[in-house]
Amino acid sequence: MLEKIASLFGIPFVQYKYLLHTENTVSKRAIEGRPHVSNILNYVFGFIISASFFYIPLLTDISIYNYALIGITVSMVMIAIWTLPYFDILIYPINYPIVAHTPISSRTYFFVKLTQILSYTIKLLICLNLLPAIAGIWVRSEEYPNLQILFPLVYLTIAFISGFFTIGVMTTFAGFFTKLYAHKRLRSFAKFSQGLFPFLFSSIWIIIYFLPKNIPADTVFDGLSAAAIWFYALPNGWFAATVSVMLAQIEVIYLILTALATVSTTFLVLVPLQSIAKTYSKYLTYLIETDTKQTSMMKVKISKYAKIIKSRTILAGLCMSSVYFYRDKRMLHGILAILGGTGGFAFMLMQADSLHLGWMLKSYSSGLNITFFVLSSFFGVSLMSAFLSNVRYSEHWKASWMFKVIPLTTPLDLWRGSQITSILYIIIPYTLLLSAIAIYFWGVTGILYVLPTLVFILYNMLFHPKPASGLPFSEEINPKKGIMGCAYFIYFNLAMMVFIFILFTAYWIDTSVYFWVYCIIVVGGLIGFVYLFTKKQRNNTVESQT
Amino acid sequence: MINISHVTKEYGDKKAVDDISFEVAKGEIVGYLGPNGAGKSTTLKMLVGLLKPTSGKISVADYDAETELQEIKRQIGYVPEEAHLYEHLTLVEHLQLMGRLYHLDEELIAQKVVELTKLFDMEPQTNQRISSFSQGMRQKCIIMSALLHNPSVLLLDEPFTNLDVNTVTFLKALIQRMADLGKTILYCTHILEVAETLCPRIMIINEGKLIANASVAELREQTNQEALNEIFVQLTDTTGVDEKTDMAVRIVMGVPSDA
Repeated sequence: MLEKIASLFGIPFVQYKYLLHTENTVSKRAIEGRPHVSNILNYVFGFIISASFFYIPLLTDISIYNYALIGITVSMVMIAIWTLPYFDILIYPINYPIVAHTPISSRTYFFVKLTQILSYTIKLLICLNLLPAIAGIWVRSEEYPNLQILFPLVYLTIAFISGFFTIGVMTTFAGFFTKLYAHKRLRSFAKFSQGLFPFLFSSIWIIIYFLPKNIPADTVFDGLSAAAIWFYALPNGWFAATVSVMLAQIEVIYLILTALATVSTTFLVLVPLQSIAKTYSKYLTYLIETDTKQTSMMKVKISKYAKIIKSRTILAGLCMSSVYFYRDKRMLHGILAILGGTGGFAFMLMQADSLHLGWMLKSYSSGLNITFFVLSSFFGVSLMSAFLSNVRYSEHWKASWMFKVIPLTTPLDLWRGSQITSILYIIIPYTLLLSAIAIYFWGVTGILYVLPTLVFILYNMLFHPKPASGLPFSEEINPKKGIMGCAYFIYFNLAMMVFIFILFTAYWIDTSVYFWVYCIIVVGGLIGFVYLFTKKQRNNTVESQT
Repeated sequence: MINISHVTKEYGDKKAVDDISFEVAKGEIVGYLGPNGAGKSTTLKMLVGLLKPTSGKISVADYDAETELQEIKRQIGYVPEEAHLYEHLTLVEHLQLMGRLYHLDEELIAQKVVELTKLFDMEPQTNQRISSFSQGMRQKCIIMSALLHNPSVLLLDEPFTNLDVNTVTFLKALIQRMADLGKTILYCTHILEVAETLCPRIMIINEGKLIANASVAELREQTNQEALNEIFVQLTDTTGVDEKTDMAVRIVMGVPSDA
């Protein structure tokens, strides 16, 4: 079985097996003679801490969310602390000189290290989460008590994912931590925390258990429940919400948090893996790559869009723009800055009542809320424009010679590829985010508030200023030019006013008139967009044939 | 295959290329030599459509540059003098981009990318960003993209810059093999030894004018010089080497000119 998995990744199994054995021995020896907490002691610690979880469901009527929150928080913190001193041993290939002269590929070495990290994490996760998972069967569940029997399975799965997420976060910040503090200081801190955190945790439970009788434990837990809301903003809150959702505790906020947990985990597991792989390739480029299997395994990934998009030029534009989308820091900074604004806007709407801004949520009719439309359009268009404006200019503009020596019959198709990137990477995710916010306020009909914004953003994208040559990434960056040109900004504001004016005029005439105007704008707008977007392509093709 | 007739390129008052005419036949390797700023790169840029000639006529593979430039571009593989690339892309992404722009099939691109990177010893760098590449690696990257679409004409502007001896030896053999297969090669260089061994015919341009267009043997006969560098100096340098050296020594030593 293991042999098959190894061959699937192009790793010679015998090499992998013996190297893993050697590395385990070397890793053990590397910490010999240095002050450290042994792994076995860590596992015992884990069991002791998690044993206290049997108290929790018996002490009070704790909800699934709060119980999962406590358990997952403890597990994540412990995983973070315990992996901290292992950065230099497990993540960085410090032992590479030992094997550098041997015919071992960097890929094999990387998988050996990955196995080491995963096996250590899995053992820790089992110690920390097995008992809380079993104790969770007694947590109250008024809605679906029969589902409680599934608690251990659901909880363990999510706790494991949260553990890998933590490893992801720690690995991503490993470079940052090691730059900020010396390895020695980090190790001392980890050693100190390993003792302090379990002590604090156990102390809190003992205090709660022995509270004077006149302070009911429920009062304390009510206080803790109120505080738990603040954990919505943290990853442990997201994972706890996922446990609740999987045990049929369906609430909108839990659904949003579950989505956050899914997206962030996927991102954080992939990014560190790539980061470790890069570190390894940097250190191990001179490892002798004699394994013929590996060279024959080298494959070039064919774009997933290749089958859908017929035009090679559009595909080239899409692939290139999507790569620049997350690799060009200038572009990413612009987008992130506006995303910060969007987050502020979402928060402001959510807190509208407590901030005495309830008028912002006033709807004249379904889909007619000025604040939501203006702000969501502004941020949406800004996000889209931050991307497309930056696609025009590039620090590597001198490389655009290659577009000029190639027989491009339809140069604008490259730009069209960039436009599709903005739809896939900005407009669709942004629309989904807006939909989630709108559903939170107005239920399923909240979608009606989002559609006009979507139409507005799509048309702004369609008429966004193109590069003079029609070629993306081909103009020199000019700091004097803002993200949005002055003329474009004026046009944008005018268009928004006209949009609102039409909808309100229709509303004041009659609600049924408003309904028809709304339908025409949204349905007609979307059909018109598809027509105009594909029409330009057809025109390009005709021009190229003639 | 390549036909240039009375081509001139002017930048304001300056003539970068002044009324040059030449032909390169199918399967021929022609060395295009000249001092810095003589007009070599300008000629190549006009051939590939990066610059428009002020006057004259250019055709490649019987396609007229004025009316059928796209067809000409399809025939050409171009290695420019300066290796400017989109540095956020990896080697694979760059080659895929080029393949797609030449409308190659995705499977074919993937196959060619794997084989070319292996051939140019660039396998460990396939998924690294170009920004981390050395100048030599960038040059290899450009050469690979020029070969990707199987061009019938290769325009090479100092293709061996920054390359190691092994790669240069391999590329010299490759250029020869390409010519044997019927590909036309116009090769711009300052490395006269390579031009002498690789190119049966040499063209020399100086101050925008084509001053020589013959085989190395004919040039030897015309100039009474044995080595190509001596021929080159005789044809392009109005001031003799000895005279120039004396002048340099005098300037360095600070001796007045009338002393």
